Amino acid sequence: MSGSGYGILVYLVYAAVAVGLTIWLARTLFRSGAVFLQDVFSDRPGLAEAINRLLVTGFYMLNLGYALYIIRTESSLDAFGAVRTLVNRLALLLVTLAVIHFVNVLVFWKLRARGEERRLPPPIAPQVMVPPTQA
Amino acid sequence: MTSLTVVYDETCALCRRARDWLLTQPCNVEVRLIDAGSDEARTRFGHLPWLGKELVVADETGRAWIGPAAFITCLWATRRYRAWAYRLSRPSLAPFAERFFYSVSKNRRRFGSLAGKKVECSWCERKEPHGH
Repeated sequence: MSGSGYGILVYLVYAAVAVGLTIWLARTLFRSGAVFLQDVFSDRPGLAEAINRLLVTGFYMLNLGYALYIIRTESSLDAFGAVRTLVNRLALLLVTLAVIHFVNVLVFWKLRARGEERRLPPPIAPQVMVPPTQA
Repeated sequence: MTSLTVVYDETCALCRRARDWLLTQPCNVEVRLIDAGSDEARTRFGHLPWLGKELVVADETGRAWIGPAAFITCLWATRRYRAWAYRLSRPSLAPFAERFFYSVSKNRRRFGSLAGKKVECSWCERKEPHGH
């Protein structure tokens, strides 16, 4: 019983921080992603919201699953070991979340670029003129 | 632009395959494919020396593209490959794309026979190849 208190503490603090971080990031993603997607699917606002919701759901599952997966600690930890484990795990979690986040932003950016392309004229200027089609 | 008329060589197997492919693609504008030997093509495009030799593409206002530029404009019309149309038009890639489409067009009969597509063109008005 001597050191098990710290192990439990590490778990509890880690879980609280991980869940808090995930919720905060997901909400940020949801709010800012909505702006992007509304721009891409301006003709179908329902679709933009649906895609946004699906993305954020996936984000929650991936983040929470990964966060819970990487927490491995022994039950007997001294105070220093507990803090070290906690900091180390949180750092790993943050770096991974950052990578996922940037991939997400990239996906949004690509979607937007694609949406903009739909309004662009052909890349090559017309070369000759022929009679127009009869209406 | 709301519609694109594509005038293809109906006497070559590769072109018919390409037409069938384009017909299945979701497009950003309405795409109409007509035979180079049809009356409609002769009426509207008859004065063009490229008719039946090179791919000819025109929109409803009469702006037209010939050869490699026409291929790129067809890509541009598709929803999926529009990005490729812009990519292939960049200064770095345009010369290669132009040479590629030009050689495909020039060797289209050889490619068609290589693919082993012996499709009889029962709907074509004209059986002999274009050119004089």
